[in-house]
Parts: sequence; structure tokens; C-alpha cells
Amino acid sequence: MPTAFDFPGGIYPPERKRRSQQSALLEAPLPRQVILPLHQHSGQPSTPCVNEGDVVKVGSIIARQEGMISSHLHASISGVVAKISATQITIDSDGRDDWQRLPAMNWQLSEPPALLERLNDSGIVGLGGAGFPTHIKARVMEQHSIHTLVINAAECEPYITADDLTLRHYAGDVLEGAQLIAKLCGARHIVIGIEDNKPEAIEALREALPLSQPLIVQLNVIPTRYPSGGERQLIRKLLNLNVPSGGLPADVGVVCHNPGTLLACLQAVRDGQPLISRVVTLTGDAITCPGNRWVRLGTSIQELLEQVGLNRAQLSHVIQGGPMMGSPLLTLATPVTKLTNCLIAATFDELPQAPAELPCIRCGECESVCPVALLPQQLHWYARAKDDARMERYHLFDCIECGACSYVCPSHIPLVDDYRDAKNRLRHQRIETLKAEHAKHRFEFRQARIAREEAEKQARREARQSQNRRTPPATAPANSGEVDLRGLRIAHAAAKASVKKAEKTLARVAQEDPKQSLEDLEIQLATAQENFRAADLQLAQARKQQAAEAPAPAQNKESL
Amino acid sequence: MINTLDVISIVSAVAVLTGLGIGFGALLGLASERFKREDNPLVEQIDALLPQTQCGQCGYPGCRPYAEAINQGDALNKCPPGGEATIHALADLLGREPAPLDGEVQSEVKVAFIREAECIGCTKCIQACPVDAIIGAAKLMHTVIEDECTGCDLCLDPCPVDCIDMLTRSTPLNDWQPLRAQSSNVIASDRSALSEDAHADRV
Repeated sequence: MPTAFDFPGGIYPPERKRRSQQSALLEAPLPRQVILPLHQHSGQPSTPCVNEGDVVKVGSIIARQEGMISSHLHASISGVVAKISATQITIDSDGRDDWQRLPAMNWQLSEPPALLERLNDSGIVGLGGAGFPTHIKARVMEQHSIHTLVINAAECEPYITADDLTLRHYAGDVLEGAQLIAKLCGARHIVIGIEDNKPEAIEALREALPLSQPLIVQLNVIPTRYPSGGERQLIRKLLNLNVPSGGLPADVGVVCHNPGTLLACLQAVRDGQPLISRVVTLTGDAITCPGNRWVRLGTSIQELLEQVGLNRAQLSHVIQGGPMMGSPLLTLATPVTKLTNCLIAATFDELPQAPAELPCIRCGECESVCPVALLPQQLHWYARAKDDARMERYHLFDCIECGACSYVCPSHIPLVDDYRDAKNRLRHQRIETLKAEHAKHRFEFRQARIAREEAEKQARREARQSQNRRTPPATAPANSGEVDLRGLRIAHAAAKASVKKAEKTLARVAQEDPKQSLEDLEIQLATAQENFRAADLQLAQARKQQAAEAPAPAQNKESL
Repeated sequence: MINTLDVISIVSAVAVLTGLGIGFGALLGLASERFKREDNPLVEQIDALLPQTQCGQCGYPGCRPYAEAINQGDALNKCPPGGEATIHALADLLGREPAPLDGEVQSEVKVAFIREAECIGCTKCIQACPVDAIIGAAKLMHTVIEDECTGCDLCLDPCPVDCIDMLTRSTPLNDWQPLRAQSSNVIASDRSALSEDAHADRV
């Protein structure tokens, strides 16, 4: 077995996986109604493409992707579209569960473009939590050369066992999905990273490994430590590669996928089944029969929890996601989305309220557990002082929000919440700056356009006047005309140069990153062109004027 | 007594220094010609700090002219859309004393909205908009492109039928931030090993 490398920090929280690990993976009963939010992925929300009252089948597209980074949304039950609001689509079930599948494909014989299109059509996003559209991630080959595909089966958060159960039941399919993705992104190695607290999943993988074709898959069992399931931490641990700050794993030639995502990819290609359900861990002491379920997207969380025996009297709160990085739900009347991997119905004893926050005593515990080797304590001071510039300098955006610092803090300071707030604030500021920049470009374009229109008007006026009178206006002295001409010529050359510069910038940026919005640069180019046209007109006019004036004295001389 | 050797060394020292002076002077002169900038970099920096609403509340026709005026020594506190934050940023940049805002504080971002049923299609607001955010044609209904509108309210005055409102800009869903108090106690809670033991017992 290859040696495992290490990332700094990390903690050992109580695992509490046993309850949900023991029962088998079951299908949750069909919901009577589903509510499908339009924004279940990162990027732009999708746009509804059905109307209220339409009849849909399981797998019909009900909302299409909007823009580049977005994803399609499919009906997860058959029935009638009951309501479409600005943020979600409600479907009432007809109880028949009629399917509308895409044609099955053989991934080994299909061309990559067809496979990518299928992944896009199936609305698959990263099921680990970030929800990044998989078809875009699979296109990583266009810009980076990838050598290794990492299957992130570490599942380091306490309570969650969704990947564990997926691997136990579908180890072969997950590996086949990995071969498919490896083919798409050009990876030559496949490495599985799995924590040693999942012996049955490891056993299932060991059995499936020899059958996996064509790449050899390497199984790497790592010791249990939180947060080894972080993308960067796992890559460091398995391959001893450091993903650069602000970069992507693709920058070091690695792509990371969750087993659930790989299974969904294979099902989309092999069975033509779009992403309409996912494995959700239902656990917590306030549930009588915990376990993992295949849940249709859009199922009400309340109904789902009641089906597994929710004990209302004991329930303190429900957490979506893990206890470290998840968020408590304010209401149970929300649907399961593509990103819901775990629901913890906790009792009061199980996850008690945190004690009141105390002042920081500068013990430095947070620094020793930070898996990114940041200075959480310094960040804490700057976050409380709202010193955003300094937070950025202390690499706030490298924080993976794992919560290890908050977990060990003896003063119970919710450090991660501070960082999240600060990140949001900074992101908001960046958006505002971009908007201001955009408005500025539009303003400049308008000014340039008005100047050009003015110059055109002036040219027409002059032309009219010279036609009417035939004789040049005597008011303009000959000397000033020449000086003007020189200034105008310089302005003309400068305008021409700025058009060329704007064209070059546009071309370069378009080549570097085709996905980026070029609107601002296009406006800048248009502004430069307007300026150039205005300068052109003014120059032509001044030349005409000079030409009209120059022969005039000569004629005078002759007449003398 | 000065011998010839001294004279030569003095003359050569003077000559070398003069030569150096002329040489570097020429170099600097060349550099200043070669890398000459038409625009003033400080004006650019000031302009970057202004909110670019192009509203003209400062008395100048746009943010850029105001940036130029600030560079010439005009007061920093004439930008109501920027508010205190802009004044402080400008004061930091220019090393001047921040002054209280001259004008009404604008707390929320506004966006223009044309009541389309009342619009008579006079195109006056289109001409007034500094960022071309209103579309329409003569005798046809006009409308505001929400994403491009900077909320400068320059279109209000020219409208002959008063059919333009300034509304509060709706915040997109992804700008929404969770309430702080709710999420503060998720993590600290499962620290105690005691509760894990109790849990194991129950299982």
C-alpha cells in the first residue's frame, strides 16, 4: 500500500455513524407532492420550461439551465405541475410513477461530446455538497491536463453514512462511473480515498476492484480524522500535492468526485436516468428507525422524518448536512434538494445548546487544529473589527469552513460563523465594485456616442454651409486651423491606438477564458470605436476646412 | 601652490560630475517623454473609489468629472450615494481630513421603475439616463433595465407625466445571509465525550 501523507491540524470528534450504518439502503415511499427549488446547484438558477397544469413524467425536464454554470431540473415524480413560483416548482403526484428515460448509452463506445451532453441533460451536480454542475467539471480537460481522478469516499463528518452505504451496495457501479469520468477528463489513474471506519464499504470495494476496466483503481485506506474529506486535504493526503491558494485541484492535475456523483453519472449514461433521487442519511436520537434512504428530490423533510419515526417531544432541532458544517433548519417544511446528504433530528441531550460565548484567551488551540494552517485567532480579531482588507491578506478565502477551530475553542466562540459573514461581506463588496465598473463603462460609452453624434452633426452643418455659400467662412484665421489640425491628428492616432488596444485585450481575454463574460470589454471597445469615429470626423472636417482655406490666398494673389 | 596634477584632477572631477549630470538628466528626460501618461493616475484612483452612479448630485456631470475636481482640491463630501464609506476611503487616499456628508444619506439602493400604462413615449428620460438603462422609442412605451439602472434619479425630473418611481432594489436570493444567532451553536455542541458515551449505551 502506498504511504499516506499528511495535512496539518485536524480533530477527532465523536463519529456517531453506527446508528445509520446498520440498516440497509431502502427506497423511501413515493411522496404525494414534491417541491423542487430552481436553485439546487452553484451558479445561475434554472428557468422553468413547463406551465402550471402540464402533465409530467419522472425524468421530464421542468426547468432548463440558465447561462454557462447552471443545471437542468427534472420532475422527480409523475403528475401535474401544480404551481410555479419565482423560486420553485410544485408537482402533485398521480401515484403512477411513469418514467421518461433517455435512451441508454454504452459509455465505452460513445464519443466524449455525446457523454458530456448526456451528463448535462441529466442535470447532474456534485452530490458531496458544493453542487457544482458535473458536465462542466468533466470539461476540465479543455484547460488543464489531468492525471488523476480521486474518488472522495472519506466521508469524515460525524453522523453521515450516505457514501458508505452507496459504496456497500453499488461499489461496482461507482467504479464504472469513475472509469467513465476518467475517460472524459483524460485521467490515467484512479485513486479512492476512504477512512478506515467503513470496513464493509472497503470490503465491497476490494471485491469490485479487480473487475474494474480499463484503468487500474488504487484503494487507499486512510486513518479517520476530521476533515480528511476536504478536497484539498484528501489530495494532500493521498498524492502529496498541494492545491495552490485560490486555485483548483485541476491546477495540480487532479479531479475529485464523490461516489454518489459517480453513481449518478453512470445511471445517467447506462440507464438514461436523470438525477431525480439521491441517498440521504436520516439519523439522530429523535428518530426511531434511522438509516439511509433513496429519496426523490423535492420530498418534504417533515414527511420524510415522520416516515422513519420522528419523536416530536424529544426533538430539539433538525440539522441539514453534518454537525460540523451543516446548518440547522428553521422549518421542516422544506424539500430535500440535490445537496441534502444528511438530516440529523437531534434531541436536547445529543447536541445541546452551546454555552455562551466568552472572550478569546489566545490559547492557540484553533491554530493547531486548522487543516489549512491559517491563523484563526488573528482572523477572529479582524472579523470582529470588520477589517476586511486584512482578513483577505490573512487568506480568509482559503478557509474551508470545516469548523475545527470552533469545535476546539474553549471560549465557545463561533469562529466559522464570523468567517462566513466576512466572506459574504467581501463577496458582496466585489460584486458592488464590478457593478460600479460596469456602470462607468456604460457611462463612458454614452459620452463617446454623444460626442460622435455631435461631431457628425457639426460635419453635416459645415457641409450644408459650404454648399450654400461656396466661399469659405472668413471668420476662422488660417493659423489656428493648422494648430488644430496637428492636435486633431494626435487625437486621431491616440483613438486609433486605443481601439487596437481594446480589440487586443478583448481577444486575449476571450482566448484565455471563454466562459467569462466579455460584456464590459465589448463596451470598452465600442467606446473606443465611437471615440475614433468622432476623431476621424473632426480630422476630416478640419482638413477640408484647411483645403478650402489654402487655395483662397493663392487665388487672391493671382487676382492681384 | 597648485601644481598641474591638482589642476588636472580638479578639472577631471568636474568634467566627470558634469558628464554624469548631463547623462542622467538626458535619461530622465527621455524616460519622462517615453513613458508619458495622458491621464492622471491619481484621478483614476479617485474615480475607482466613487460609486459610479453618475447621478450628478455632486454638481458635476458624472463621477469622472467629480474625481478630476477632487484632484484639483474640491471637497470630498459631495457624494451622497457613496456615503461615509466613500468619504473615508477618499480621505485615506488623499491624506485629507474626512468631513461629514454634504447632502442626504441614502441608506438603500434604489432603482427607477416606469409605470408603463402612464408612459406617453416622449423619450425625455432616455436622453437623461447617464448609463443608457432605459429602452423605448418615440410614442412607444419605455422601460428600465433593472440590472443596468444605477438609481441616480436623473430621469425623474424630465418626465412630463411623472410616471417614474424610485423603488427599493430587490435583493437577489443568493445575497441572502442567514441570521447569525441560529447557526452559532451547531458546532460547539458535540464536544463532550460524555454525551457520546451515553449515546453508545443507548444504542
